[in-house]
Amino acid sequence: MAEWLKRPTHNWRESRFMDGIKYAVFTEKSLRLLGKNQYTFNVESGFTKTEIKHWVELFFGVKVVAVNSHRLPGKGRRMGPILGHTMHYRRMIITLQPGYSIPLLDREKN
Amino acid sequence: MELCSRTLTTLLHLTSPSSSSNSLLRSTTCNYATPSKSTNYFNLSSSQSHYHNHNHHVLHRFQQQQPYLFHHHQSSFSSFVVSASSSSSSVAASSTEELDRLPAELKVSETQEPNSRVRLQVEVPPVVCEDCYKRVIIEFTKQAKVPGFRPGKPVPESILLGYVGRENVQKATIESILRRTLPHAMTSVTGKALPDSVRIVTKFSDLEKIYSSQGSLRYDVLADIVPELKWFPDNAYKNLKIVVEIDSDIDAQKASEQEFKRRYKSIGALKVVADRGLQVGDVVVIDISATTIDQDESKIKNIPSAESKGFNFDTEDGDRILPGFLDSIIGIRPGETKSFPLVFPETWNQENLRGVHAQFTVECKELFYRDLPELDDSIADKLIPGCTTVQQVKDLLLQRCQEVEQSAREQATDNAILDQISKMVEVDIPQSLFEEQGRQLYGASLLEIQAKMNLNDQQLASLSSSKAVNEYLEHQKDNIRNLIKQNLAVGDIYRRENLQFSTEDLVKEVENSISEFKRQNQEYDEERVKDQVQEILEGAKVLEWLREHAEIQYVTR
Repeated sequence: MAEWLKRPTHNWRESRFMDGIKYAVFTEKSLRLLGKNQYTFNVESGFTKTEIKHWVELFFGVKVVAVNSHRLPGKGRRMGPILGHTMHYRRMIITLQPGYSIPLLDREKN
Repeated sequence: MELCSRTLTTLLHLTSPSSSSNSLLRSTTCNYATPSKSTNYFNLSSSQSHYHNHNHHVLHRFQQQQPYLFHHHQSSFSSFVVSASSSSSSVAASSTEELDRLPAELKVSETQEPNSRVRLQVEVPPVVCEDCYKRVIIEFTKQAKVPGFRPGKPVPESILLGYVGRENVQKATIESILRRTLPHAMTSVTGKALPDSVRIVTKFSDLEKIYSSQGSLRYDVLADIVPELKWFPDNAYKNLKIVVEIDSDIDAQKASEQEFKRRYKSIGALKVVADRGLQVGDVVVIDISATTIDQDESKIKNIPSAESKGFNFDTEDGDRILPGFLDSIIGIRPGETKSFPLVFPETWNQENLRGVHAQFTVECKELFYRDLPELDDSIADKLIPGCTTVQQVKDLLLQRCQEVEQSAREQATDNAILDQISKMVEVDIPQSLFEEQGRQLYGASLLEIQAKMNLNDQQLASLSSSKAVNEYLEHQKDNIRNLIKQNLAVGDIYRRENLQFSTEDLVKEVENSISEFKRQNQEYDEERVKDQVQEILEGAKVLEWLREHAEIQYVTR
């Protein structure tokens, strides 16, 4: 993604869409937080809490109470002389209002 | 909605099932591994295990770990074999402890097939499958290192499935089902089934299809059971009438005399004859050539087998060659050539030469006579070191020959008895038994060949290829069948007559053979050695019994 898109922007409602939300995270911690009605997502680095809150509320039809976030440590990649890095993500932990939920896992049995 | 689906797919592919999943599979299956037998023979069967299908890569882990459990045959008939020998111990152990653990009963239907074979159709109810699935999942959870989860911590099933791969889990589940249910299914034939003969004939891909579509499993098992012996007539072995033919060669008296003469002659010096022709008792070096006699000149052929050059001909041993040959060449002088016609007798060893009229041409190269010392006690020491009189030498030789005769006689008797027995017995020989016996024979003969001449690796490989073995099996069919019949019959007699051998003998023999193995730095399995020794002792005991209870007639040929 172009660099300018990663930066917070004021007119995001026109220029950016919800595909900044990359994927839900499933780790021990995130599963534990699910019990507290908190959902963890990795999102594009430049997205703000407000944006995410907006898209999540819009898409899943839920009420977001709080959003906590941190940026994940980026990992450097190097192909010979060329320096690079893996995708940098921002992890958002979204707390929903009690009574709301997001269907995350498809619990179909094999 | 787009986000949702994308989220989920990325989630599933987030963690690619890579090397760690494979190691997981290996380690899960390791737990089931049973120690495979070590054989002293060439492991001919291992050459058959081929990995030919990508879909079976889970199984390959098994194969690499435990070559005895799954053989993939080269043929497109990709059945896989669960060796009963390796599982039999676990069968025995697990059947008692696991029999009541299956949540539902298996449906097993049994059909008899030719060659002492039984086909078991096993139907595994879904409940059992479910149970096995759970076990597999638990096992995977223990072993898998899913990112984001500390090792050993509970991982949601769906995440685990995504990580390990649904197919792999399915394969492992089928594997586990087979492993758990096979001992149960085999209960009806336990003790009767031959080791190494139990094989699951349903293809693995079919199993997968059935399992994924129905959640239950159906598979067919083929097992060779111990064949039943039928005696014709019943208890025929009790009153055996045996005629043993004994070669006249092994008659001790004659043999000892011959041996004495040979030794006596070898003392004497050979001296060149200059002034006379060939006499009986001389040694002559001759070139022989022979052609057939025919009216038509063009049909005259050489007889290559009768030709020889520089043939060292001792005229005293004249009875071994063609009759009339000696008479014809008597009086021949060195450098002289004689030509004479002879007829090969009807009793001649080589069949194609019997009754052939041949023209022999003999050229005498050299002529010697023997300068024999006086036959008295002074040369006795030369005949056999340590003897003082000629009589002593003769006695000693006679004694030795008698020993040889005795053992040859016993051997001949045993052979005759076994021959007789194998004729009286009617057995439906199972294929696996046949193959195993054939392999053993082939391995033994291969070892012999190798001991005789050093084979290089390539020759050895070509000789131990499955094709060579199969050819051998085809070629030696009757021989092997006979051998199996004899073995089974001997075992049967042993059981019927309640014969016993002392444990002391067993222990002693086992120790002997183990020390033998140690001396040659070979690996050995004590249990196996014990089994083999036991078999040998049983055989000896039965033969002894048979000798006692049979009428044996000796006929000298």
